[in-house]
Amino acid sequence: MKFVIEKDMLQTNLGKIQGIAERKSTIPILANTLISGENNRISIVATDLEIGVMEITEATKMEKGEICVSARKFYDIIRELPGDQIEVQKQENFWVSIKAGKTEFNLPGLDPKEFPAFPSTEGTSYFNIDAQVLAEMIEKTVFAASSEESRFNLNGIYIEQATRDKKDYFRMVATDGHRLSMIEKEIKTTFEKGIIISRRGLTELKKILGDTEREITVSLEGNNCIFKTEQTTVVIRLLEGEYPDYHQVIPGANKKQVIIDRREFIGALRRAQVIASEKGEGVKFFIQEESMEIKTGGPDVGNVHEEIKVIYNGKPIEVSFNARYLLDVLNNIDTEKITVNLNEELSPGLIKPMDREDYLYVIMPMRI
Amino acid sequence: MAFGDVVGHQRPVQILRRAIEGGRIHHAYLFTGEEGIGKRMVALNMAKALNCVNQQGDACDECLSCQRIDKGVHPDIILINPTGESIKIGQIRELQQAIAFKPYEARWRVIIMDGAERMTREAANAFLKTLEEPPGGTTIILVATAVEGLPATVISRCQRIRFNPLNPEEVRKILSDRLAAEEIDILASLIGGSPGRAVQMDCEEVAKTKAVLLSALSPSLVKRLHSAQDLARYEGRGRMFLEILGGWIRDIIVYQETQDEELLLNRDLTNEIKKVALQQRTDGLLGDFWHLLHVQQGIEAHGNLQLSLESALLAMKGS
Ligand SMILES: [Zn+2]
Repeated sequence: MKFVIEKDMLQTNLGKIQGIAERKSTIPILANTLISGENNRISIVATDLEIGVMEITEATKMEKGEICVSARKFYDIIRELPGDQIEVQKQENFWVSIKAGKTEFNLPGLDPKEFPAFPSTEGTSYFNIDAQVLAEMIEKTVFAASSEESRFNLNGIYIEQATRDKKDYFRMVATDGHRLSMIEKEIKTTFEKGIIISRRGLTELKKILGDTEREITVSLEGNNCIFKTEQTTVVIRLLEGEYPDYHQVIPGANKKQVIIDRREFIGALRRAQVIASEKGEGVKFFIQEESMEIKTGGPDVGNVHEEIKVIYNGKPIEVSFNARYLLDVLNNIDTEKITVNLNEELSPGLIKPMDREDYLYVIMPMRI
Repeated sequence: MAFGDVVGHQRPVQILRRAIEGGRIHHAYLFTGEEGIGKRMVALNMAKALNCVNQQGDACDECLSCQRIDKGVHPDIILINPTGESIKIGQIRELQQAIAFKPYEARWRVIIMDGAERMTREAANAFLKTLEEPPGGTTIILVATAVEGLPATVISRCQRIRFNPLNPEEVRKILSDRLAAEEIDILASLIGGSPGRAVQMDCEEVAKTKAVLLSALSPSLVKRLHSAQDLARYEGRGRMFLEILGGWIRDIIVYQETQDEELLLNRDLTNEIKKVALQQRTDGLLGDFWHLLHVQQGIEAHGNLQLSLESALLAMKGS
């Protein structure tokens, strides 16, 4: 195994896999990167067994083969090397030599055979999605996924093909039982059934592919979901289990709709949170014609109340929500106004961006 | 190593091979039997056989899957061992997190928990959840020397497979590529049917302890007391001595009754055993044997090693 490559190119690609290789693991080989070369192309692979990343880039003077070296050390060396051409060559006993100008490094490596096989990425059927759209979908949903250790399937984001009004949608749903987020884009997917991907998987995916301008090819193969551009492939292992039926949690739109200015609402909630954070984040809302009173407090923590203008013309209603959950939602909406649909005091609230139908949030009320 | 290479354990291997051939793999097995007889090795073979690319129902030892399992780097073959004294709840949580994902590459994910009887109560309770709702395509193998430490709720959810100690010929066969015949002779009486015990033993140390045994047979009670003192200085050696003594008395009785050298455990002491066997009466020896058992129980119960050793040595009338 031997190749010559431009320093910048190697450095950039090694940089992209560091986040995955660096993750603490009980399996030492996972701190390594597997580099394979053939036909003037090299692939650089890292995996933590949950997420695998493969970068493909061009190289010259290729002698086919594989090496497996510490991802961190290799990266640190490449960054410090002078000149702009680097020669990498496999030596005896899996050692690797790295040469640039008059500098030569020799690094001990591992048997490439011990590196976990990169899953097959030739998904039989696939669909394309704009990288920015995918990033938006991830951003608007993941925060609502559970981080509780014992509910592994809720730690994931449910992804499925949905059909509504005879149109096809690519949909993502996350919930931890207290709140739910859902976003869908009009895209025909090739998913025959829903899958669950971990919150970390999608967050890393966004980090790795979020800033490309290109389309991403999405496919399923075996136990993995594969996201691919020409240069980068991200493979995420699916979670086991069934996702709970989330449909019944989402209330239908109804008459008791409140229209609120998002920024004003955020400001009022932040102020209320100063007090509410000491008593389980609970905040009360009293809504009547054209106004919403926000209040929270108690004899031991003090109290706060504030009134903001809203658009509402139903019967007066009083309801309580968790301020932090509300803020999470409001910070993930990008319209100026939002709509909140309420039903009864103890039924979930439906929060949507005004004049957009592609995403929504549900929050369970609190009993105070 | 494949199922075909396993020495002994015909019955367990047969049960497992049939399960694979019939496609009726239990979601949880409980392997029980003495320490060091090969339960874990059979469990690893099961993992290999379930995932081998080349062979149906056994391991080829050559494919990538077999090699990864041998090297302990297969991502879906999860091994759990006690950390310190016990298997702790944190380890179970880690396992549950790992199996929340679908398998990485295996046809069958295999979880092998060695020393399962050493799960703490919290660990066992948490683990029960995994046993109750095991993920698909996964089989759990609990390996234990005794079921006593395991809650009944865990045991009842596993198919139990008992492993018997190996017979002396099987033990010799397994050890023959690691130890010389003379070394096996020296160790044989101590390891019983468990070749695994031989690996942990220092052959020289055993030989030295055996030498003490021979010198302790002096008729002088003072010399015997000195021997007891010497032995008690190293706890491991003292305990080992009592075990050797048991094997020695057993051999003398066996030789008196059968005159068959082949049946002796201490083949390295064949000449001495024959000599003593001619001089002593069987009933006196049996008395020594009972007394020794009594002393050993005494050590387990209250543990004054020197007193116990003295008692054993002074009381030896027969040998
Ligand atoms: Zn094989």
